[in-house]
Amino acid sequence: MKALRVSEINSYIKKILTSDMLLSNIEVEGELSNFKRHYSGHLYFSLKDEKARIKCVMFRSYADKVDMELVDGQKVIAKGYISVYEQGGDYQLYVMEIKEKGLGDLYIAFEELKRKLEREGLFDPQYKKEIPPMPKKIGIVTSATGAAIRDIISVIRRRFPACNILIYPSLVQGPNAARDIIEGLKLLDSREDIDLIITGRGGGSIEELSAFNDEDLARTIFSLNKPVISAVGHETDFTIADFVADLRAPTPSAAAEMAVPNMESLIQLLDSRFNHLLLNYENKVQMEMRGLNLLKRGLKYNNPVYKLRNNRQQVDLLYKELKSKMERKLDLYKKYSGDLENKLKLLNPTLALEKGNAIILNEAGGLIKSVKDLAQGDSIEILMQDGRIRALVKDVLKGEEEDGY
Amino acid sequence: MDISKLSYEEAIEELEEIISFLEQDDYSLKEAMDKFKRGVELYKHCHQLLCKAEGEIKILLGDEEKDFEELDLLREVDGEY
Repeated sequence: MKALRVSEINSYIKKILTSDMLLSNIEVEGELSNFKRHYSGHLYFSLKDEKARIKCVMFRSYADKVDMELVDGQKVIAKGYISVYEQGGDYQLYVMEIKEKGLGDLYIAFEELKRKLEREGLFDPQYKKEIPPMPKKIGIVTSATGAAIRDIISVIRRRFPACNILIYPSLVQGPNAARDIIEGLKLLDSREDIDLIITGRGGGSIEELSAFNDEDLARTIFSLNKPVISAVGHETDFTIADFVADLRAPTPSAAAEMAVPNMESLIQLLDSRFNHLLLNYENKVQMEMRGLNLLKRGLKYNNPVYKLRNNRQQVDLLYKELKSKMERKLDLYKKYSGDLENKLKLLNPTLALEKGNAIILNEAGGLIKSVKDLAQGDSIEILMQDGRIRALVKDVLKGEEEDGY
Repeated sequence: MDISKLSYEEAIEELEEIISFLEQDDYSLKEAMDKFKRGVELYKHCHQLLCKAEGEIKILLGDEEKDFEELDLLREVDGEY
């Protein structure tokens, strides 16, 4: 048997592979890896699953038609054929179309509906209603048996136990789910006692979440008078209901967190306000107390008893002063009277009598200083040094009469 | 206004007003006492609104509202889980 050349065996293998019906038109599902975009525009990568990998190439003419971003790790479905790269001896998947896995008709319909409603303005922030800060009663449209309702109830109970809850049990998947949810939403919206509505379910595939991607449901949510929180699936799942709801919660638990305030922190806040009130009041009372104390001091100072005591002191002082002044004055008088006594002594009439002078007194004992005081016949007394003379006036001669001037 | 009829937000707002009123100086002690009393009542009201007994959890079944937990127990018995 003649040995074959390498090029011959590769060419032979290629013929076998490319003649296979299955391999010539095939879809392969796997995870993108070693993705490289060659400068020529061709794409080179591998597809892999947990056990194996296959080399892939996508020529530029096809690559240009891909309208999504391709990155390693992405789950994709590649459509093409299997052939052999003869020079390298590698068999490869020659990819002609590539799409994201799960990007089925549902996904495309979802994208279309999303764009349509967005254009109509159903997602516009200006229509979003405010979530009440402290709802008294929350209406919930979801499955009564799912984990979502348990999560919501337990979070509300923990954060704000006073809140009332009314559940409208609805289907959340299957062909009748959307209609059921719509009915529940409308019913809860029509009730006076409900402040806020939550609707949602646990996470799932796009098929399982399809009720929340329903156009009628979206329009119903938009038309409600009460605010709606959507709580569909896990954080990565977005639904049309999420876009149109007034608030989107990533999970049912998160919806409950957003729906009610935390009682503990509210109480803390309330208590700090109360302390503030108390402090302000105490300050006021203390201020008044200080004012009152000042008045009290004023009153005490103006107390009449105190004043009286003060006055008495003053009187005492004045008395002392008066006394000392009087004494001084008295001394002065005493001294003066002593002087006078001396002077008087000097003026003692007996001295004059001793010198031979005489003093004439009238009958009454009055001193006669002038002849005018006497008349003829008056009885007089003449005091001399050594005795008295009683006499009668014989004649009165005034000075000029006597001398004849 | 009757405090028991105020919502939490209204009560808090009035409480804040009283607090800032008491921060000024030009009012009488009588006013201060009245405001303080009202503030205490508002605080009590708010506290009660926050801490009042657990709200009820009901489920709508047709035209009836049933207690949710009760129904839950029944379901467990029925083995619907």
